[in-house]
Amino acid sequence: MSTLLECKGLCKSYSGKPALRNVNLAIESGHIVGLLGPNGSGKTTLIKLINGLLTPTQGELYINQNPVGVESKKIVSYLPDHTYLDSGLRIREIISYFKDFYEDFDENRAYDMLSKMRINPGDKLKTMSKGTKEKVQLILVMSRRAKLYVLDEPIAGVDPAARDYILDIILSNYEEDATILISTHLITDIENILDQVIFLKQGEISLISSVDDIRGRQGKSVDALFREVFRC
Amino acid sequence: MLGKYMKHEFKETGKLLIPLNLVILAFTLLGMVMLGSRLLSTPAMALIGIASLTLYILTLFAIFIVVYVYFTVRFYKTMYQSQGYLTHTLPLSTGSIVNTKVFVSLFWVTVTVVFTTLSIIALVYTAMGQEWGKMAIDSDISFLKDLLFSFLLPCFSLTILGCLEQLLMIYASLAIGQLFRQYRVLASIGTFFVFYIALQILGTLTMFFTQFFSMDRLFHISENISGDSFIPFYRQLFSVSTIEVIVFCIVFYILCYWLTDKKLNLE
Repeated sequence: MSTLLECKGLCKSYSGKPALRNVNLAIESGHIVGLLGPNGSGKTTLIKLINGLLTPTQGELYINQNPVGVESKKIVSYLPDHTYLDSGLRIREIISYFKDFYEDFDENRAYDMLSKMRINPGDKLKTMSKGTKEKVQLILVMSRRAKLYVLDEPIAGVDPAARDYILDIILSNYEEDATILISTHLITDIENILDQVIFLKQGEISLISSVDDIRGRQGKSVDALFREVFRC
Repeated sequence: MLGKYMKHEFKETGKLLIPLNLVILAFTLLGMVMLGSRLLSTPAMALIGIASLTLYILTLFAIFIVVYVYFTVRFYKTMYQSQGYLTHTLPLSTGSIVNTKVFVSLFWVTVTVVFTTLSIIALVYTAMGQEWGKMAIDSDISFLKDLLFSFLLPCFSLTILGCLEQLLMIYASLAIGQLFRQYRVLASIGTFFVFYIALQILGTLTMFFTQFFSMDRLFHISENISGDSFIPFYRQLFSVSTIEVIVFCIVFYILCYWLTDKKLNLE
């Protein structure tokens, strides 16, 4: 297993207010990692730094030994926590856009998933419900054969029945040697698919552990440990 | 990859810019028909002619405003708002993204300027008809050549450069505005006005510094406006202005590029 994501002394401040403090982290390929923490703990900030949407105040970040840039963006597939596509476009046009820019984008996989979810590729995004838009975005992201999938709250906006289906999409479409980094509050829903967890507390890493360790040694579920660590 | 990005930018922006330029074309053809058929020669119809002319001028102004507002909003939305999440996660360098945006917007602004200029020329030619051609034949050929190469072409180049300067000033203002945590639009507008005022002050200072607008000179020009001093005066004015505009373009471009590359802040 090689190190896919590495953070060295990573810090990010907003107007002098720290959002991430001295984050040191190494994630290997081939894992499903949960990035967990309460609101304002720095999860989204870390995710944005990984995707180059924010610049670090201090520290270094490497993806597959490359700093964040053109090379890292070729292998990272990112799902933001909100709609980020032009709502005036048809899904077919967005698929063509993704196909043009990402060499690892599998067009057939995207159309296949759309048909399974009964979503018409000819529809415009603006005509869809929030939940359907989120499904479309997830389909696009998971249709890439990326090395690192970064999913920010992928199940937050959908009903409990759709959550299982979304998790199924994630599990059945990622490459075996790829890593998935999932940020969420809904720990119970994703607990069973995680290999590792990272707890973020007030911008600092408070725990990095394998899920087996938490269950075996501590005899707790990830959800129970989360509630214990982050009790108000 | 850069080519693909440019293709998509042209495709998206063309959805508005092509119809806008077709509007100019339609107004021009309509105007040519009206002027050519001498429909407006009666006093009653002259009133309609004046109204049409006013509408034509207002439409041209409106089109330019729409073009600039569109590119401002598009740049802001695709660079520093939700759609920026897609733009900045594409495997493209910041330079490729900024250069494409600047090139495509300048291309469409240039097309609109060309369409507008040709539209005005076509209408004036239709209205003046043969008199215009006669004036050209009667004029000294060397003066016409001088007029074209020393006045009209530099004037066109400076107009396009001026458009580039305006676009880059807007983009640099937005790049500064995105640094703020709140009231980003307000911050961008504020920055734009600061740039605009600074540009006016620096422009005036440059003219005085180079003693371009000395009172003696202005007096001399106003007395000999149709004489030999006309072309050299404008030639020098264009040279000074061109250098000034190029310098401002470089400053605004560097600001926009550097802030997007090193200080991107998609909170």
